[in-house]
Amino acid sequence: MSVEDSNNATEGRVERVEPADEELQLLELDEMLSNFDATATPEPVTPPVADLAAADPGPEPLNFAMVIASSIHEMKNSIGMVVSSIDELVDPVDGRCHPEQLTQLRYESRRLSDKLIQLLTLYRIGDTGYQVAPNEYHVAEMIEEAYLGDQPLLAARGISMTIDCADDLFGFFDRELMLGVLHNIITNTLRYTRDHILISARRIDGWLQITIDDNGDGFPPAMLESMPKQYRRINFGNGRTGLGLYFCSVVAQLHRHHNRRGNITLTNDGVLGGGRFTICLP
Amino acid sequence: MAIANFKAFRFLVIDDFANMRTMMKSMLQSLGAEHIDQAGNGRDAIDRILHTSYDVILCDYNLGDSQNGQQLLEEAKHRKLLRHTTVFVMITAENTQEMVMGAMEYRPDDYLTKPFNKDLLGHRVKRLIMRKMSLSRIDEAVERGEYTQAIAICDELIAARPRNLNELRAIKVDLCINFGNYDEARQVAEAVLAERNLPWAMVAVGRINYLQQNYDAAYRQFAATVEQHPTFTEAYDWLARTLDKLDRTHEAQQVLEQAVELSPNAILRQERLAELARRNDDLTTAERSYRKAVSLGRHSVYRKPEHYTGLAKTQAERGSVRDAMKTLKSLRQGYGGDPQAKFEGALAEGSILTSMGRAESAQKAFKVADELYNRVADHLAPQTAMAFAASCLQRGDTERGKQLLQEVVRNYHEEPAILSAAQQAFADAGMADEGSQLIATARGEVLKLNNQGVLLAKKGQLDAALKLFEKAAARMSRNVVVNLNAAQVMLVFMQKRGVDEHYRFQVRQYLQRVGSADPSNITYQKLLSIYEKMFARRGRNP
Repeated sequence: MSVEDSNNATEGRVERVEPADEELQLLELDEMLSNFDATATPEPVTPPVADLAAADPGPEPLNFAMVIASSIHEMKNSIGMVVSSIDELVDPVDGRCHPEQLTQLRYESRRLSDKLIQLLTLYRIGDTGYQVAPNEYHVAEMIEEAYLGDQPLLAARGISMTIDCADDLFGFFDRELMLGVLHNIITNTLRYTRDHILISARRIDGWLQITIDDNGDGFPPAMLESMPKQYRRINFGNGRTGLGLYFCSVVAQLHRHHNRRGNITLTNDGVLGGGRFTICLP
Repeated sequence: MAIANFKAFRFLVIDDFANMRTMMKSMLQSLGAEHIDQAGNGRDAIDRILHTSYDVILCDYNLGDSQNGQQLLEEAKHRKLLRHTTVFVMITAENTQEMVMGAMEYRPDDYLTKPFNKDLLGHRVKRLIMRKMSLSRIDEAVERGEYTQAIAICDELIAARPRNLNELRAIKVDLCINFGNYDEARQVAEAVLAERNLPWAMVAVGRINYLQQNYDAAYRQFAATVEQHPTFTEAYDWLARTLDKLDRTHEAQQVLEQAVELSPNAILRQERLAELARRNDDLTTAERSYRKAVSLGRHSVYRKPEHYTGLAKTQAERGSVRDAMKTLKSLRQGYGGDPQAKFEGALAEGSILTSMGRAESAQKAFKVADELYNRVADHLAPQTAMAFAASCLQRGDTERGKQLLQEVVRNYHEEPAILSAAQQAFADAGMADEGSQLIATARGEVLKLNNQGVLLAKKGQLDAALKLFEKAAARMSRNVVVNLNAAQVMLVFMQKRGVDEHYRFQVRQYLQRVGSADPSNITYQKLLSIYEKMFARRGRNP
């Protein structure tokens, strides 16, 4: 048996170790010591380092007071809905539960919880310089999980969802933040869609593109116009202040690769005839 | 999805809130699970894990005042209490950076952020179980010490291009690096990097450069990783290690300080920062980091007496002897009657008091150390053993000091850092000349004994060679060359005379001693693969 043979030891066949024909070589002490010398030095791999500072000015600084004000406004509306749903949950006459009130309750509670999580995340990003912790993930798996999380809400409203994503598509992102984005958009789309949502993901020119289409009448013009600088024109009148979209935009921009930075767009040219939300990650 | 087979799995739910445990339990039951145990804190959880072999452990990160989830996982893995197929999911209320990055050595299989519903839980757990199962053959091969076999299984799985392709590639790269197959490791890592600069692959290439002692290239690689992936803390650790090798110790310290700021709860990193800062004479940072290591150690399996003695020495050097003595007191209290902790505490106390000029009190402390030495000698780091030997020389117990230093030299006869530290210990006691002679004598003994054994083996006197190396390896249990030659002679012996379980066990032990200290040692790898080949086949065809 020789040392070289050991490289073949992994083949499936079973080989008996014969009592040695050739002897195992004993290494002399000197020879042993020589093994401790430095080995050859191969060419190092130095991946190109992007000059991020020069390429991109970075996300817009957060005006946290503004974010807080608008979120409080939004959550106040939600909790108002929760309270009135609870009030109307049980019929005063026959004592029965109204399923539509239950659905509303579920929806508004969910929005409240989403907003609080978004707020907390935005706070961390602004205050502690939270950095994304990206990793490689299977994209279809993440979308499936987002779907499962929202499934009760979708079912209650009679809305179906389709996922269109290749099984060999991988992305490099912060999974928790991206799940937050998807949840937020799905919850948002519930208000605009008629009865169907399509989530598709693909890779285009190195970008990971995830789109969420619905078959409603499209987003209101004011919402489309407010992109991408929602917080320049907050409209407290319509009750929805765009915290969610702002959150999505911040998350997208936190994802960088070389000198590219993620982005979001909102359009009314979706394949289902309704609105379309797109997030692209480098 | 089919979740019916949840019935077959054993679950453990760990959470300090009873309500939360009940909720988890009912979720799991609705998914079909029947065997669900609960634990309210780390102690309970470890007890249960000791008694039951769980398939899935769902553990809340926050467990109140006891160990947190990460520390629990570290302990369970460190003590090898988990099967390799056990799925460990960390459940978190929120994904704080500190928490996700807190994992230093052992990461959970996945994180799950609250709130989640049962569908999501079921889906995630099912997927993790399947992933673990797909890797179990690799883990089993590694457990049997059959690295070449493990790598072959990786190749086989990779060829099918599964969903977790890059995970498999990462496992293969790690195996190849541990087995010293640097060319193949580099090839796989570079294939990944050609697709995308994934942080683990960048670090892998850096590690290979480092292990091949190409420190400049390693430095460039790790610096690029830190720049492109600023949250990948492992890259900081390697960058600091490389800078240390390049004698750029102040930069190394800065890098570790950055990593500690990102992730303050990793005890091993705090320990390294403290040691580095102390070497750099930055006593403020050293004290802060030792203190942090001591406090993190309260619930950690990585707690060490050295954190306390390091803190005490630093405090003494900063002029606060009272604080130092308090620290040593808490070492004794924290460790109960543990003899090694007592020994290390007494040794530190003695040297602090000596440096304060309080010889009489120092004598008392040293006396405690003297009495304990024989009981703890086998477990001491060479640096601690040398510190004790140095103290013997300083206080006139010259014979013992000489003997102990020679013993360290015999175990590490080719390690320059240890040899020069031994020389320094003699020089500090004013015995520089005698010391270098004693060191030379001890080295000579090792060389003579070893070469005698090699000669016997070459002449074919295997029995005699085997006896000689067996004795030598027992006496110099940490000597790399002696252990390797002992393993080699035994392997030859078994080839000629047939396999012997007792010798097999010993060969494994010799190889483990070398492997745990230096897995990149080429002779070690060659012998390990011969050992593998000799026994792997038998294992499968008894």
